[in-house]
Amino acid sequence: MSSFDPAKHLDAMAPALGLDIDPAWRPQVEQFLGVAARMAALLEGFPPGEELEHAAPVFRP
Amino acid sequence: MSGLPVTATAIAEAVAGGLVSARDVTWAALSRIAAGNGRVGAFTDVTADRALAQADALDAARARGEMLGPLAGVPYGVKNLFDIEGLPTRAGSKINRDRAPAARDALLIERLTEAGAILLGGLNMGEYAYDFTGENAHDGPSRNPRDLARMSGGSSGGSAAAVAAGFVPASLGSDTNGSIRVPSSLCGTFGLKPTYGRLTRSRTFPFCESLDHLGPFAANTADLALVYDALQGPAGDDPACTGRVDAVGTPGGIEGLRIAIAGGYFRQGAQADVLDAVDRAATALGVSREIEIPEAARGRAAAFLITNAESSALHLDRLRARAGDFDPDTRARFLAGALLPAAWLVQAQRFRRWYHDQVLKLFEEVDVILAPATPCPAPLLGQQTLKLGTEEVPLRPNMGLFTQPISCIGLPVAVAPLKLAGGLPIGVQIIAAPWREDLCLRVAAALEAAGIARAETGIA
Repeated sequence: MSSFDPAKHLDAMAPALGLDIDPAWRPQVEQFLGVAARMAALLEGFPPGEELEHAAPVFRP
Repeated sequence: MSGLPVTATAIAEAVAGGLVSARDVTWAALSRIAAGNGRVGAFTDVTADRALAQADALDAARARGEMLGPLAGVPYGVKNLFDIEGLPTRAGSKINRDRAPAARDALLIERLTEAGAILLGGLNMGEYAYDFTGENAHDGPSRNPRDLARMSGGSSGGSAAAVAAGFVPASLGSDTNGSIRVPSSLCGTFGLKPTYGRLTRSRTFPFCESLDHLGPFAANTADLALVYDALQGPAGDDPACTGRVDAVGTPGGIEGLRIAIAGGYFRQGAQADVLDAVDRAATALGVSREIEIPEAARGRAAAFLITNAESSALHLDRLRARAGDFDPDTRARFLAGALLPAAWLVQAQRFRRWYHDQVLKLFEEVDVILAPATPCPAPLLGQQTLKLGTEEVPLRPNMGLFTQPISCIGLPVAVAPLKLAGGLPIGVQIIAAPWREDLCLRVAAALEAAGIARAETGIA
């Protein structure tokens, strides 16, 4: 995930979602995209394997 | 008004027994709010007319010889994401003030009304509940009654501050990643985040459906249990609520309970005196065993991503049309969350299921796990970073360091407030297996009985 570029990602995704992001807000949005990317990197490939089920939208402990 | 009962339990007994009138209790609470709320900022709406009318109706019912409910005359407030009939449900936002007034109270308010409790109004919160500070650009911050220069914690900041200030003996809030437990810790109240799916969210404004919980705050465990019991019941239109009811009554003792301290992740990243507080609680309970919650850091990461993606999807239309009307402190996070790659969310959900299964295995060995609620006591309002050990870290995301891995999988948690040497409170999380809120409350009551945990009330 080291190649993740928050600015490029924002430029590509924001128009696709119809979001008009004020330039003044960009630094903070990019910062949070960076945080999310680090969180996603922690979870990449973990747990290993592809056979797990129940990636469920309804979640009952 | 001196001499009126203070706790919810004592008020309900005195009102039901005719020793005091519900009107006098309600009037006294409204007077405390009128005198102190300008400094604390806990209430955003005070429903005085409604409260006095309800109090008079209760007093009249008693005069007719009717039995009153278990919360007769107990004043309380709710986080302003609960529907209150006649008010737009603002959920801490500017945008929601344009909504039509709610036609009907949230189901949990109706349940408390049925039990005789008296709603005094809506409580301040971080915008759309995406917050750990209690600050709000539209309403101003809810301040910490233990030190008004400090944060109440969020997002249910007003709910904790109202109890800690002594305005009301109990309140309701919500907790998605720690929003009951963080303010309980910072303001020094008792709080309960029940099992996911326990309490209905019917007619409340959501934040992140698959992580949202509602729950009570109080200044002692007996009151917390009393309110919690009155909140349990059928699901209404909440699809995740099971409607399961397990009344706690008076929390019993802790004989035979297997209790452990959370090690590893939960012993890092906190101030030394916070860990010392957890150890004091453990010592008072006769506990020295440590247990590791596996992959807690990843649990936090999953909760972060699920919250970010789900909540931003919820707000997508508002982000398109009115991004400029968001609180600057939530806007950037919501905008970022709207842009997340789908694979990140799917992987977070997949991990969450694995993590859930691993953590539940721990409860074959232990009944209750102790952990810090926050890495530090209440920061100063406006503070942006946090010193943890030698490292300076951003404050906002790190206040949920110890709460997020637990709510990620919906486990019930009570928070009991201890006092640090400097005088500020700090909360200890008391975590149990799903549906075992009774164990959380029993351990909280034991800490209270031992004189280790105590909620101070009033404005410092």
